[in-house]
Amino acid sequence: MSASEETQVLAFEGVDKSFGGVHALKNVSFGVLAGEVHGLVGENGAGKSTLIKVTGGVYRPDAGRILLDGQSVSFHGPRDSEAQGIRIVHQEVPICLNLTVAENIFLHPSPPKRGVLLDRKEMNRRSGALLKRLGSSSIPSRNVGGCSPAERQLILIAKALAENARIVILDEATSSLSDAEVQILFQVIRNLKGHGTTFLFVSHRLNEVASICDRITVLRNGEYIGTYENSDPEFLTEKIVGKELENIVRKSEATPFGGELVLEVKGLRQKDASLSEISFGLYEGEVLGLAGLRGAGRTELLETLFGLRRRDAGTLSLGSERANVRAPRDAIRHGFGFLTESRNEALYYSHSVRSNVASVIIDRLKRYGLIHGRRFSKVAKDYVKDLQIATPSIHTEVRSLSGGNQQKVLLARWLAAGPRILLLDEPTRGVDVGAKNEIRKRILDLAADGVSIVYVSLDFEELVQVCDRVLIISQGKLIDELTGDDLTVRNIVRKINALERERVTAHAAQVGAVADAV
Amino acid sequence: MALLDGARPRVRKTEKGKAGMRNLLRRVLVMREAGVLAALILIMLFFGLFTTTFFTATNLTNVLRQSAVLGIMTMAVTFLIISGEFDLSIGSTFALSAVMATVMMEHGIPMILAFLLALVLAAVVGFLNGVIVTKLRIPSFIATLGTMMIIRSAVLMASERRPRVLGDRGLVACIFGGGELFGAIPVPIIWLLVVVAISWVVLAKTPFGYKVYATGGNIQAAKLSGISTDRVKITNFMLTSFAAGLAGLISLCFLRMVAPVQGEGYELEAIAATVIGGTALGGGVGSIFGAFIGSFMLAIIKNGLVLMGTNPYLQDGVLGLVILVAVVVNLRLAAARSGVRPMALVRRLVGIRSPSGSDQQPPHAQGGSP
Repeated sequence: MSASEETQVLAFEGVDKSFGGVHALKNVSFGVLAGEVHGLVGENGAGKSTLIKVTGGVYRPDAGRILLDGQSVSFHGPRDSEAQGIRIVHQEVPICLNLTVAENIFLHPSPPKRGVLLDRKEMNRRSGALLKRLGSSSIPSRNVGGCSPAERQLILIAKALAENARIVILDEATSSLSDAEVQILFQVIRNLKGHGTTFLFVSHRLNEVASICDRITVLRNGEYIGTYENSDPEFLTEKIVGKELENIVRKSEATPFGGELVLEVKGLRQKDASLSEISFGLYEGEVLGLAGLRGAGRTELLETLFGLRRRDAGTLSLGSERANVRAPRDAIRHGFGFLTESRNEALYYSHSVRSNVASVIIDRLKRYGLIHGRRFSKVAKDYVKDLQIATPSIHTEVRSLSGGNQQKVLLARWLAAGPRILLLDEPTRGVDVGAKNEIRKRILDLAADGVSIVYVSLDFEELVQVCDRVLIISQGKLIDELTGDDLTVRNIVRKINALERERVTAHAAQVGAVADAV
Repeated sequence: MALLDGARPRVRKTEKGKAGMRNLLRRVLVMREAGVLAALILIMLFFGLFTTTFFTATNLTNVLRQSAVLGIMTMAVTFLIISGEFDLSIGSTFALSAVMATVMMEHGIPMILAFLLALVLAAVVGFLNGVIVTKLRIPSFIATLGTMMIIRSAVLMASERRPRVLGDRGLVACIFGGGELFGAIPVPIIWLLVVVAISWVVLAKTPFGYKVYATGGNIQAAKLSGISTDRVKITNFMLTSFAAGLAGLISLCFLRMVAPVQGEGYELEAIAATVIGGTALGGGVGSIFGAFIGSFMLAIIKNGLVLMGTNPYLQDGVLGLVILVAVVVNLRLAAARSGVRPMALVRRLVGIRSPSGSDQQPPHAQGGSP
């Protein structure tokens, strides 16, 4: 250790932090080497956020020290840590959409000026140089509103560099990026690492952590578990959860086609989402996966089934009955449930856990026209216990729960409604490993009870583990189906990529034809 | 305290005595309405100290009676704002129902029938407001600004620009506001209390009330849960206009006349009372209790300033100041309430910062609340 101590650019020594009764960090000690990409992983509530905030000067530790280049530092606010070259790039991108790329980069602390006026030319020139260094082709004078999420992340990193950051902390920076965009970001990180910048990379995605980090530190319940060079996701998961993890996998027994046909979709078309010729059947107790790239129409298909989008053509049959679904209300009456990808769309943040759980079934909790208070509370209490939702009480604002627990609250809402068909859009995205398994387990239990499930996920491994059958969707059309032994991650990826290649080739041909014509 | 209004800290019933007192104190302090209740008490004490007539039964009855007309409208406006909309047309609707009732009576329609028709007319106005906002998707601020001007113009024309007098002093006039219960309590007060009680039960205890909160809390989430948010909003617009019409008739019976410009400015006063009572303008948060305190506070301030003999032009200035202070305090309380221990909240209110910002709980803290 003594040899490496000299090159430790950032070190924590016995850092301790409590909030009221919650011991968020317990005597945490570890070091980050100069020029490395250091992973920081742990479940929600393990103390990652607190540690980042302590490093960023937002909180002051109750005990312990932070060392920068071996010197003890004490931060009284974010400005102090910024002055020492520490920059935090957060999950939620604080960026002004109405300003240009260059304006965002120089928003703070001081843009180049000529007299009292902004020197736009200089600003654009310097931004351009920074972005080029990052391998980004963003145009400095362009509005940020038109940039993709990945470009925005890069802009923020450029911003950090403009302020001479030595240590960049990436807090779930990849959660809104596609795979290709993540690769670009990683290229940039490797590039900067070569120039001596140190990174602290915080993420739930263990595969990404494995591919980019030199060493990985694991926190659990506010305690330091260890720093490892072994980046095997299985190994890390064990350290994060602290117990042997049984991987929750569907044991597909009887073929689902033996079951009763619950939903039959025929010739469904939706113009705005460019869905067309969608036909499929869903069987009782089946878990049907829907795999495709971003923008392929997965979410749009679920929204159309649920009545959030108007069907331009096609029929939905439930058993022998033709379903007339024109609004979510109709869908719910026909036994549909829909867990959306975005929690923002579905949660009442300023309302209690109890209110959030009862949202769909509130009319069933009536007695003499009034809400039956005891039953209202009981529903919530039962699910809090059943799904192990970590909340101080059922009266707590949902806002203050962690992401995984918020997701469980939403799952509870639909479990309480007792649907026959449950549409799930990325049900385990952005939640920690423990909650992920809990949610998966509940979904499979539900299927075992005869509920039919449509499962959308970008995590193909999850689809393979959970689903009986997977449909491949591309450009708004269902183009293939995988079952049984054919249902592997490799096959899903292959099918999707083959299509993508076709599309790209077709597009290139089209462009070529136009060029020829001109 | 509303059953549904967001999160409510649960205080365990432990030992009696000292701990009990502290729990009670905490309970009051974390209440959404704590700030406005404290302010009301302070203001009343202030007027009690500086005037001799404030704390008399006659005066307090008077204040309550004066607050009735606005209070009734405020209750409905609270529903509407919680569901995420505004109504600027209630002042006009107030005058419309009173003027149309007198016009109909002049044409020989029996009083009771004229009154019922006036209420139906008010509800129709609300229905139109609701349809314009939800179906034509025009922001309620603009939509009701339009209907406010249209209705006011109709009122001026129907009344031929002169005050209309109510000659009848029969039972209907008594019931609607001219009479006094037991010869002491003016009927408008009874109306106010009845409306407050019904509003409280409906908002806090029924599935409809739940849907009002849900619609304003997150309209997308409400739709996903199968709640017909358009219907909720239209109902609230109708309730609001109906309440304005009712208030117009009560005022007509009490004053025995109505001027065609009457009711101007009521829309803003009702919004102010609601907001003072802790209702969030963005929707989703608020309570009937708070709104009631808010409307009562406005009446108290007007009354107290008159008793103190202050310059009448000062009145609006003071009211404006109260609104600003109330909103600031409510916002700070709301910020403090999410994730702050009750005692830290008090510290914050009096401006003492705890060191190292440790009165903030970490975002994912669990089990730290009382």
